[in-house]
Amino acid sequence: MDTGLLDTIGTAVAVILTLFVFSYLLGDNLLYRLAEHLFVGVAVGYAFVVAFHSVLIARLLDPLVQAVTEGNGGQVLLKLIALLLGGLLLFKPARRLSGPGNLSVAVLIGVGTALAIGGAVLGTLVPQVDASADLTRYVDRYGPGLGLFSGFVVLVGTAGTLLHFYFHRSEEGRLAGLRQRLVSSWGGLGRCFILIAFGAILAVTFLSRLSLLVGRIEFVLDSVRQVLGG
Amino acid sequence: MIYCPKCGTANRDGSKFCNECGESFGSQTRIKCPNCDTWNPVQNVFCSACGHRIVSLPPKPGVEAPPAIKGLSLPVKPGIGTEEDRSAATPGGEEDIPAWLRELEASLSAEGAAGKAALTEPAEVPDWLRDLRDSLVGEPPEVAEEGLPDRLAALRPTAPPAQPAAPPPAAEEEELPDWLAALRPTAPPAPPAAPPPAAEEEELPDWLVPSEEGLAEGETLVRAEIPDWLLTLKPRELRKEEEVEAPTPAKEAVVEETGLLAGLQDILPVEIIIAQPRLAKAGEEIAPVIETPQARLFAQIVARPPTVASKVMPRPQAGLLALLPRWILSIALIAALTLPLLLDRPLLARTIEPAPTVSSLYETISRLGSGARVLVAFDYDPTTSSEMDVVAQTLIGHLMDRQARIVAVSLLPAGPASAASLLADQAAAHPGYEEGYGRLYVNMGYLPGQVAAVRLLGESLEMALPCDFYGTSRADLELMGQVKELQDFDLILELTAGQDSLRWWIEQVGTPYGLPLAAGVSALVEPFARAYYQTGSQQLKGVVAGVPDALTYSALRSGGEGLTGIPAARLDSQLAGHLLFIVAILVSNVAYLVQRSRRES
Repeated sequence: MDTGLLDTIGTAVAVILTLFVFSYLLGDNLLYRLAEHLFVGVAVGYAFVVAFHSVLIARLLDPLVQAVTEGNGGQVLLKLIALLLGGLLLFKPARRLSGPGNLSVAVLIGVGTALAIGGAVLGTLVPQVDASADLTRYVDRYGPGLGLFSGFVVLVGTAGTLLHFYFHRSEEGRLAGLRQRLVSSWGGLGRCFILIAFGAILAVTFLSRLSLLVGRIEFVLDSVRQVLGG
Repeated sequence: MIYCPKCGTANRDGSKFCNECGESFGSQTRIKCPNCDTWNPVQNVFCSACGHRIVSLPPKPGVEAPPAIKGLSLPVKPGIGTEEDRSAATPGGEEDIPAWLRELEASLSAEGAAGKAALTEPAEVPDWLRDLRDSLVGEPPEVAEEGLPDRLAALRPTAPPAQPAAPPPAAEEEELPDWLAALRPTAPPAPPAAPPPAAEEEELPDWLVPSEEGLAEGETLVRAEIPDWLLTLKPRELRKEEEVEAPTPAKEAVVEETGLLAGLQDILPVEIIIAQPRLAKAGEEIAPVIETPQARLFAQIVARPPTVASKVMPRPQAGLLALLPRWILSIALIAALTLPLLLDRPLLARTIEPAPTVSSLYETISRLGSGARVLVAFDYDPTTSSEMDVVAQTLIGHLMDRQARIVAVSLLPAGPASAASLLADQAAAHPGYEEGYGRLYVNMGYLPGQVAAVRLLGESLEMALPCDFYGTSRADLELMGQVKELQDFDLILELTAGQDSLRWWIEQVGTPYGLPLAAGVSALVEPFARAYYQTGSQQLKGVVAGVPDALTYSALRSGGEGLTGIPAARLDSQLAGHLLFIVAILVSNVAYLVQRSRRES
């Protein structure tokens, strides 16, 4: 079949499905459900095809055959272990036989957690604390007055946000009253910072989704122009 | 009061020892009923469950006389004890006797000295013999004194009994054994001074027998009625039939079925009812314990029969009038977004003021030399391609302008397809790249494993990228022959619509290996990415966030000229949408405040 015709059919289907999704503005209806289910089905099917070809074939079976052909015992053992762990996952859906699959899940979760914790400490926590405490950087960037003010705002906001999550309020000790007032007042200020941050995130979410809508409208308009020969 | 379980003496609350017998009940806080095994407080005289007496009766007067006044024990009324006791209790002689006692003694004197003598007995008589003798008091003796041995003769009372009963029938006399008949008192019984009293009166001690002395003619003593509260204290076995309440149903015998106690009854205590499971009955009324709204609501919820919630929630039926604002807003939004795109020209003349993040990324890519190797991660899928494609086109186009060598990967299964389409479009727009796949740019496809896959890139590029998206081995790709490890790349560019994948690249590759990292992200991720841009080491060299930043970046690529054409129309469209929403939010809030003020007024 002609490639141009396929592109035209594909574009037409895309425009129709886009209009089906837009029909949700009038309420839940059959056309919207049709587009929704079609999208989910196509996405799952496509992901399976990619995983089969790019993972099972390209990264496991082909290297295993090659390693066996070359007599590379280490690679064969490595691939067989990976194949075994992947096969054990197939037992997970069955309740009675799900025990062996726990080994694969344990490896996945253990490796993922170890990488996430180590990366978070060195890649996020330490650099962010360092950046929050470095006032000279604000001065260099924004000048003496505005830089110090920016650093002060960051300091107050960071500490206030942490104090907002300080739930234990002990009534013992000589400074208990002062501590409680500090937590309540400074923590309340930190709550304001949290609300401002949430408001900013909501705004950029709206901005992002509006961009998606503009892109879809632009796609529909371009398609109509092509059909009309514009 | 605490009643001694041994002698029955009443002691003050808090006593540790009995003031009469010295019995220790300091640690004894409960008394077990010998009849039903129920534990009762030490203050109880009778069992609270069965009414059985759990404190032994105090010693009978005359049998084992308690001292008149001893320690803190209850005062003993004069006249209850023996003659010796009474004489001991009145050491002062006749002057110390109160008037009421003198009158009582006067009434007793009418019964003769025989009655008093009957109370006197030798001290050495054992209890069992004394009880036996009491049961035989009043029976006429039949055995002559000659037949008694010396030891029994000494036990014979010297005086007739005080209140002999009616002469027993002859049949009873015949039934007595010889040895028992010999115990009968030899003296004949004294004639009764009054008609035989009722059974209750027989049990009364002498000093409680009413005397009619002092009464006027025609007056008689009326028997007092015992109040109900006092009757409840009366032992069950001493009550009359009419006083006995309805008999409690017999307790069902519990027979043990298993274990060593199998076959035995009532060995183990019956399980208390609070430990037994109880099924709630529908509509059962529950008495409110606390009269609070929360307690009443809880009682209502508990009394409500369980219902299974339907899996399908009913859809609210909104009328057309209720949907009208929604439709109006939707139509207005589509119109506001479509109109600038239809005009195909900018509505506003604006100057380009790129953000520092955008300028920084532009300068970073501009500094790349010809032939620089750049790893580009396409971590977005078609759901966000309307926004992300604009960002990616701008950045990939700039990279191709700089003659960079591009290696594309993706952490999402659907990412390589987006990368292939976009790379092909940009390659077609840049001379030299049309036939440059494998040499100038390459799509290495899906990289499974998420965070572990990113880490694997740093550990072993060869293992992580064995072939490209189309199945071509990396050995057959000229560009991949130039990069042996991750450090061979001059820049890593992350294109993502989610913050997770951006964090993985920063934490697993950018920071550990010290590689320059930049990002083109969705506007949604912009606040998250900006924090990494502002760190001291500038973990992100630059950030392009969303369509506005991408269009600004395009303007920088074109030499700082103003936006024209489709990019300008798209920016105007987005601006119109923002304005519409600002107006809608303001109008909605004003309408809500007006409505609330009307409702409150």
